[in-house]
Amino acid sequence: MAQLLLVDDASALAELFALAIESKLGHSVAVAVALADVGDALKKIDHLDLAIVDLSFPQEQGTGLDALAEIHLAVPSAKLAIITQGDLWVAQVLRDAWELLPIATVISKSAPLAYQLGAIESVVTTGSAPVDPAVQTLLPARRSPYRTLSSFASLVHHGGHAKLWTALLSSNDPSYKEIADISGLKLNTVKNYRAQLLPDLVAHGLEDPTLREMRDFAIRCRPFLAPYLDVRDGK
Amino acid sequence: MSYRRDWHAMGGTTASQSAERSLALIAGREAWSDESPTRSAATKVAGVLEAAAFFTAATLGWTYHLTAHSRPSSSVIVLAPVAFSIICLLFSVRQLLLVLIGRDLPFPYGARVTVRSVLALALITSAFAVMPGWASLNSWPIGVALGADASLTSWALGWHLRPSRWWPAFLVSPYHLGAVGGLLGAATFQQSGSVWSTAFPVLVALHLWVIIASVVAWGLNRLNDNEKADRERAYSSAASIEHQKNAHWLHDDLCAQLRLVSIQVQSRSIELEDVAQLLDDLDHQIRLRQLDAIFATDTVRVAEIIQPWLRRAQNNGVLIDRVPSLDEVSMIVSTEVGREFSHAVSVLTSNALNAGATRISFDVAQTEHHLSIAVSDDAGGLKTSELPVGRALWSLQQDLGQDQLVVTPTPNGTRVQANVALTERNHRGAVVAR
Repeated sequence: MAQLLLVDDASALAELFALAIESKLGHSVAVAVALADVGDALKKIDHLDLAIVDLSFPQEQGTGLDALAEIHLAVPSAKLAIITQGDLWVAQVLRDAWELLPIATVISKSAPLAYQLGAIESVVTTGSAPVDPAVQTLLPARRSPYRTLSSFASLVHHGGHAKLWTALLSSNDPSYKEIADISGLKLNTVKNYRAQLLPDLVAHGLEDPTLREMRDFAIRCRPFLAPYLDVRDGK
Repeated sequence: MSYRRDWHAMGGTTASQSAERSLALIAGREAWSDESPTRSAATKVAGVLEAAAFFTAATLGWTYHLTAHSRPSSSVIVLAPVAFSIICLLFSVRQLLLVLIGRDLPFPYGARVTVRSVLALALITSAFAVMPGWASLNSWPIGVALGADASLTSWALGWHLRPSRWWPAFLVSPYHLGAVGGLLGAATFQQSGSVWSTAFPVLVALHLWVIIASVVAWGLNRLNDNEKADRERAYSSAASIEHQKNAHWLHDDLCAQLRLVSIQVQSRSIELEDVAQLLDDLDHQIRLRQLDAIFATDTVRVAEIIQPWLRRAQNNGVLIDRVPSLDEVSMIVSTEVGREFSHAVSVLTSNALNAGATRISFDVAQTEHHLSIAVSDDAGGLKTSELPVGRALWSLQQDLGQDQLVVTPTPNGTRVQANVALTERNHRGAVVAR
């Protein structure tokens, strides 16, 4: 019997799905219905074989990427799977998760229950399962070898870059003026720092991004960027 | 909050901030516009105004030079009109190109500041050399150009300009006070007549530039603010209409369908499997509605078009052997092509499902002129000549053209390929996946 963790904000659906897994597959399932509950859920279980995480948490600040990163950091041996509607809303987050974390499979929420359970069982027994065809079109054929968790280190060369990213993360409508105001950096310094980061952002699919695109990227990938911001800021 | 931030929050400026702003303005709009080219009316008006102002300044300079009674004898002064014209035309043509093309050459910030500073200095010097004394007032279009240029740069930076403060700030600026001091000194120790006839008009012309620049910037900022307000009102109105449409759809279609399922379940007139089928149908309708909403945004990614049909096939218990990856379906097409493509995917998938397929493969390809979808199934053979007249597949063939629906027998079934035309008008081309 494997120990699973299901993270999904649709509580009724999550409970029902957990029940189906327990009754049909015989595994034990812990459920977290909020991103903030993931830490507590991990503490309550003595080991974890597989985490199945939804990507969309519209009522919260973060996304499923935050939960996946937290679980991966806490239990690196646990398999990670994504369960998602797989629509435009989460397409970018799905791609980030797929490229940055060892995702064992992606399951579509609209797939038949038997198919979903088959994918879960496959991951538990063999370690992976084919990606659901309904969401396959949202994922690249091959994972980029240049896009890794450690590649985020090159996005924060020094404390100045940390200030830039921190300002972007707290900006609503980023312009050079606003970023300079928030960070205390000079306008030209903001411009220079952005220019310095451009080559490293290409690995993340950002070709000459605007400040707004950089802000969206930072918000999406906050769990991977934040550790470097804290270090460079000397926190 | 640090003292510096407090000071800033109060709207005050330190000397370094002031110098920073000056440098930012000297660098110009293109140094800060990392956004895609802005096509707003205010930006175009400001760009054209700046170009016209420089052109007018050059024309006025030459008009004065050719009609002036006294001609300068120094060779440097003789070259001034040429230099003045070249600089004006350089600024003018560059600004017009920015309006028309939208992008400037990628000069580094330092080079921009240096080049524009040198050109500005040469412009001022040559302007007063071409139009000396009170004739320098003819250089008023430079004030228009300055106001337009400052507006364009401030919009790119995200600054809100306060042009009403420019002239008072100029009055107490070290440059102005120094110039006034020098003027008074010269008037005291030299013959006051020549000072008042040569240097004083230059000072007046500088005041004129600042005042005109303030008025122009004020006007352009009003135009920009009004345009923004109009745009927000239009967005708000469009959003309101969209909310009403959604509410109507939720009420009429979605709730009615759910009610139907509910009544059938309550009256026990339906089997559980049929309930699941009805709910799957409803799910499919919602996905198509979602796709319709994406079509309304003017462009659509091919991946989003085929997704509802992959789910449809999957929920029909069909095994999907092959689907294209993001690399193959990341291209963005116009709504027109998207709708045609969606229709083709719908017909081909439904055709395979109705024929009793148990396995399906989807392939997408793009050529210069066509976007193709091919659906392969294991449901037996089919020939183009056997297409039943009036049915969906036959209609699709009529829509696409006789040669654009290709039916190929496979060992277990059929491969049907539909080629949707990408015309010059509606082809948006492929984009990078991200």
